[in-house]
Amino acid sequence: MDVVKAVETYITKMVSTPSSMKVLLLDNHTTPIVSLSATQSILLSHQVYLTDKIDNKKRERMAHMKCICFLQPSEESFEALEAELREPKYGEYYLYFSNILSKTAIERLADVDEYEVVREVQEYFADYSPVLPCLFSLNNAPAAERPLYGNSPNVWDPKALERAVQGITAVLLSLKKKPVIRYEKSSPMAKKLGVEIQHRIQSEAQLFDFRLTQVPPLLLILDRRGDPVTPLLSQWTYQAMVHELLGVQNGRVDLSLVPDIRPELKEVTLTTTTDPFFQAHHLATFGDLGTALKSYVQSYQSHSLAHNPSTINSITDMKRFVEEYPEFRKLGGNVSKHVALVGELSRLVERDKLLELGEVEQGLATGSGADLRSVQALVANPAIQTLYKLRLVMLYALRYQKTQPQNVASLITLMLENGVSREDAKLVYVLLNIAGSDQRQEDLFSAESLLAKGRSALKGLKGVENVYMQHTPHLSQTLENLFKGRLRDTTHPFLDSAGPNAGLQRPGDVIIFMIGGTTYAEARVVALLNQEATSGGPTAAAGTRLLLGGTCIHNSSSFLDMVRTAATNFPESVYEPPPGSATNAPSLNLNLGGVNVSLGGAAPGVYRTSGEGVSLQTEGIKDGVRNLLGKVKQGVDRIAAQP
Amino acid sequence: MENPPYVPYQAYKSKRHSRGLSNQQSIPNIAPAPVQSRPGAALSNGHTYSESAVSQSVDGVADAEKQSIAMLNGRGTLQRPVSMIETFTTSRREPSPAPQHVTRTSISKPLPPPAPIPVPELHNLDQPVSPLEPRFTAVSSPAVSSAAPSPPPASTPPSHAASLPSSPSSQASQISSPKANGKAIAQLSPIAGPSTLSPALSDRPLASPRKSSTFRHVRPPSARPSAPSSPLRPTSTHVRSSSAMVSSPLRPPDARLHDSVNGVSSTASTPNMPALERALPPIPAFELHSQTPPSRSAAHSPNPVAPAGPPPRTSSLGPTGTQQHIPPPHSATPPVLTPSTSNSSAVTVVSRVSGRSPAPYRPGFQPKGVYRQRTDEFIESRAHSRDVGKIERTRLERRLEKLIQLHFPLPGQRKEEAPQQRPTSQNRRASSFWDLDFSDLKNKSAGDLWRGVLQTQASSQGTKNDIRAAEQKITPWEDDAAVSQCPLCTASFHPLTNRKHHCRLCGRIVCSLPVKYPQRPETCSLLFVADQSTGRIEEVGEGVDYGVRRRTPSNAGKKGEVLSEEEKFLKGVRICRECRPVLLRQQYRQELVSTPLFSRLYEAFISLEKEIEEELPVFQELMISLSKQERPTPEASAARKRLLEAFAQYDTFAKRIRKLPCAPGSSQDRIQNAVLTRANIFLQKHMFPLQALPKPKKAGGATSPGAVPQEDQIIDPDSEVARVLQPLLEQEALLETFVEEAKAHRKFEDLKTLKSSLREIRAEIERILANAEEQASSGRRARTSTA
Repeated sequence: MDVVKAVETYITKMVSTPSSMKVLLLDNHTTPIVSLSATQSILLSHQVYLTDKIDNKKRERMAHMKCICFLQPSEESFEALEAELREPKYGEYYLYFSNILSKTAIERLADVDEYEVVREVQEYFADYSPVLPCLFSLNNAPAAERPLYGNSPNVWDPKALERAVQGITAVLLSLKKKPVIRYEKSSPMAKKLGVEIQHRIQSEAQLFDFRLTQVPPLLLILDRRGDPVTPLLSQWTYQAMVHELLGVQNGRVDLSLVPDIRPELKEVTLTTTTDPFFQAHHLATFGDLGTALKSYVQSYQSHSLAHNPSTINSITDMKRFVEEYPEFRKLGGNVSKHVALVGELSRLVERDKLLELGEVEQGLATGSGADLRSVQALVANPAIQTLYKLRLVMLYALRYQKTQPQNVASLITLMLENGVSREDAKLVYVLLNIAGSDQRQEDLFSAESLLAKGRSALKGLKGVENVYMQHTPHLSQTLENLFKGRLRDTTHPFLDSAGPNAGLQRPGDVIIFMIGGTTYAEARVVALLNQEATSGGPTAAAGTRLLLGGTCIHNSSSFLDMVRTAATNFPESVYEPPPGSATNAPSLNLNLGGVNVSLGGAAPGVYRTSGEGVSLQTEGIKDGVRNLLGKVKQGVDRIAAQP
Repeated sequence: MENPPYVPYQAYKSKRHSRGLSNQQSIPNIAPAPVQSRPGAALSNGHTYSESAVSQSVDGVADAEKQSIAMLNGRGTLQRPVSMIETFTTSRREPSPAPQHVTRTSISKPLPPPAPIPVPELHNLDQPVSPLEPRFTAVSSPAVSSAAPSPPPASTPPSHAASLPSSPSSQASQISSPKANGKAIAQLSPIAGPSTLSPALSDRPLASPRKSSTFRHVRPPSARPSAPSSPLRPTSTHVRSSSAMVSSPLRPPDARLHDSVNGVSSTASTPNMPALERALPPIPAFELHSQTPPSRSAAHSPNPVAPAGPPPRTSSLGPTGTQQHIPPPHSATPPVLTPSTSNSSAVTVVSRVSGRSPAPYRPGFQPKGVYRQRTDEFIESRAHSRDVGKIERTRLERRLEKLIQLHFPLPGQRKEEAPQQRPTSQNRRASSFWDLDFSDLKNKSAGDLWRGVLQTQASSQGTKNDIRAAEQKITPWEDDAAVSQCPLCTASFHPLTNRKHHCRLCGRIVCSLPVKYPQRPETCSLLFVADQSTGRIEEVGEGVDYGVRRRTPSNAGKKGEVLSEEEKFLKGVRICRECRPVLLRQQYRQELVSTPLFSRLYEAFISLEKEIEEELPVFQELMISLSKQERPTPEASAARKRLLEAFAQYDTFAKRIRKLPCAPGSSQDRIQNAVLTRANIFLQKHMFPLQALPKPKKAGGATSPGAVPQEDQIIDPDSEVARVLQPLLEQEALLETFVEEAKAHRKFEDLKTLKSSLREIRAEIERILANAEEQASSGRRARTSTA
């Protein structure tokens, strides 16, 4: 289940067909896919000498070239292609589409092919960006013009839904998997997506005609709203850090804002396939990375010492030099790239006081909790950027939503006093409304504190306990349950009622799809579990291969952007503080499987002190009661789940 | 063992059968040996094969596929006839070994120790013969199991026997001779079936008298076949299968490296392919391919490198230490078997891997993604849509052709028509009244002018009418009176401001007004000119024909034959917007037919690259065998030289392509740049390793006892010098490019180093050249003295 290889195979096959000079035409959708999985030299070696956009009107006519088009079957691409075929610029056309073509689309294209230049029409299901072998993205980054959510956090935007269905279908086809589907029960979107995919699989039975495996592969659809914490944290591993602090777009990192950057390093590529150092260390923590980089630089230095003019004394020296020179230069380029990247990362860490911040964040995200005063101090600190303040308050709000609502309110006022705009401050409530504890079916904070960490399947992965790496994404817990056959039908039901013991069977292949975007932190968990599985140790993950995907890959700012843009379409009430429940009495909480250890006792009021909506009181109480019942039920389930 | 897929080969079987009958009695003691020894080994090997097959398909699906494609397309078709037509093969095979054998024997003769060195030599010699081997055994063995007398093996054992190393020269002759004889006996003297082997061998020379030198060596091998073949073979198979085992786990990581050697390296050590083939069904097709590489090399035989391929192949197993030990046992076993069968089997394995979908489901296995062909649907629906209006379209196309004939005749035709055409050659357009020359205007009075107008009208009217009539014959024109507004843009016509124009293709009346949004996003009609000699059709912009134009001297001189860019429209033929696709299609077709210089150059460039890519692995194997042998052979240096020449030519091609004129910044410019980049990458990838290789060779030459290099020098002093010089020269060239690069990148420290090295290397070249001259002269003296 290596998506990078799968897409690479497609691309290679595509560009190798007519053996002559070729032009490759792409559209906006396929460009990132191709650029992620094919290098310029690969294209050149397949005689692709020109790559262009299909909607570029200024292409010149070249009858001696043949043309490969790799396009998404979308309206814009069809239009551009029709225009192209009406007045063909190249000798022959080989059309490849990234997804299923409708009959009418074929007829439409056939109609305009007056010159009979089209030689091939094929569907190649490379319809997603393979970021890592075990991580794919549908590139549906949150933006106002491409929303993910409809008019409520439970409803898909129809286009986004179609895109997600297409993307996942393509993943399944490119890996030849016909999965059973499970989804996160609390998320209506997950269910909707699952139903649509199931429908697509059934309607295209001819394509999904694979040999059956004993235990069918599993498609597990999760919702970002089930774990809003992970994308809000500072990251401390290489790839995740780069994405968090600098942003990785299609394997490229824009360094043009870095002070004193050399011109050739303004934009660097950062993919595991082309960069051995990155391949080896993209999961390394910042500290390990430093050591690795140091030895990398040293090895380069010893090389360059060998290339010192003074050491070239004889013809043999010279010969060696000549032979090794290109390799040496390549190495040099790579070294300087990573040095620049890591240098910039540490500069940002220093500048934004990320270490202090990270410590508090980890405290909030894990069971240990954090002192209100340390949070207040950070929020009041003028040296810290507003984005980080907002993140911190959000984390605090998520953590102590029920137990210390008045502290959340006071933090929001403090934040407003310290430079965070009102618009942004509202997002705290938006987040609580769409991903607060009432919306989540599982508790994110307690398990680690109460149930010993020894239970974690990932304890081996953590290695040396690192203060900044205490938090493990919730996904790891879900997966652990899955491996142990303890992922309950009540929380993650099957789409169609599979056999009675379906939940106990351990699937060999698991594809996890995160609606609302995944993160590199989660990708790291998956990658480590995969490593563990292949290393053959007697671990829970043995023999299981995981693949993670999402509508996009988030860092904290893109996650906040998504929340922000999504909220504009939601009903106004989303900006209002969520009804605090009157039911968070300590006694009840303890009954729920020991989920919440209440620290400060219940807040005196039903509402936050800052809450204006007193008129909502009755309704709020009703909600609270409903919520209580739900929680009790869940708690019972969970207790039953204990072995 | 009898397998249905073999049915097509019954022809061979029966032939062999009848032929073999003559030898019947002599065989049984030999024949069973190979047959029996094989199945066991076949089993074990079969296992490793499937293993490696899977691992390969996992590792480099694309690779395997590429290879198989290459096999299928590249040579398969070429070779097929060879293996299919029996009589042809015999006649072809005979000559091919001959030259080889001649050259080879001359080399190997002077060598004192026959035992170690002949092994590779032998392989070489077998090479051209080998196509026969796999087929013999494969075809024959079923026969053995079914028919007791087992005649086909009769043809194999002699060849084994013959190939046993007595001495290199005998080897050479005998390998080629049994083949010749096998056939010869069948064709010439079926009665010649003797009871023992030795007579059979002894009559060989009769059949192939031209190999007189082989005559005296006939005896020794005749004794051998019965003895060594059966006891040795089991051990040999054992060794081989084990080596196959070793090699198969090695494969996955190596798969890409060895790419072209790929299949070969893993299976080179397995002579049991025939047996395997029996075990696996899909042979008929691949059987043919199995013979491709050897027979290709036979076809290449003027080129001495190609046949030399197999020996390093067998030995190329062991760049890794573990396998270094395996070759010795090889040399002990009948060597014929190893190279020939292995070679063919390698190919069959590769093709088989890609030919079927192997792998049972395995956890680590990644299948190739689904893809779906929609081409058929597309073509069908295109055909459907093209049917509509097809008649109309072809009619318009024919009209267009006629129009071009009429308006833009070929130069030859024009001359004939010149007398009546010339005076009005510029007045063709029916709508242009005002065809007066400015100069005329100046010196004419008003009356003259008017008369002039009338006259020109009248005089031009004749030809104009002719043309009009011709045009109307091609296309019936719409009646002027019937139309009051343009059918395309609905602008109403006016005798002065908006004149009526006939489309010369469909005959409709349209306007010629300029673009005006939103009614007229593009003009309703356009003009085109054509050039029949080049077939180019060009659209020309609308101009306003004032009837008055500058008369540039050049233009006047050429009598309007070459119109300047802005005057082209005067000759333009008008068609309407809706007929434009007809024109474009014609234009497009014309462009397809003509190949620009660029693409011709490019084709040469690519075919050269392919040649180099084919040659490289062969050469590298040569180098590996050389490094063991400690002595460079002339064919190695020749191959190297050839390769370097090819590289140089490749480079010049790339540079020429880059230098083709094109507009800077245009797509063509980008493409030419990209081609150059590709060439650079290719050179970097393939020329650097080439330079690394001579090292062991040179070292070997230096360390070996003085006698050998001296001998070498006498053979060809120039090559020795050239060999020393070549890498230096290349490095000089390379350094020069590096210097330039460093300059471009402004890396001054690097530059300094590079420059000093360049100086040094040039000095070294000078020195060697001087030395070489001395040596050459002394060598000449020496030779003259010995003579």
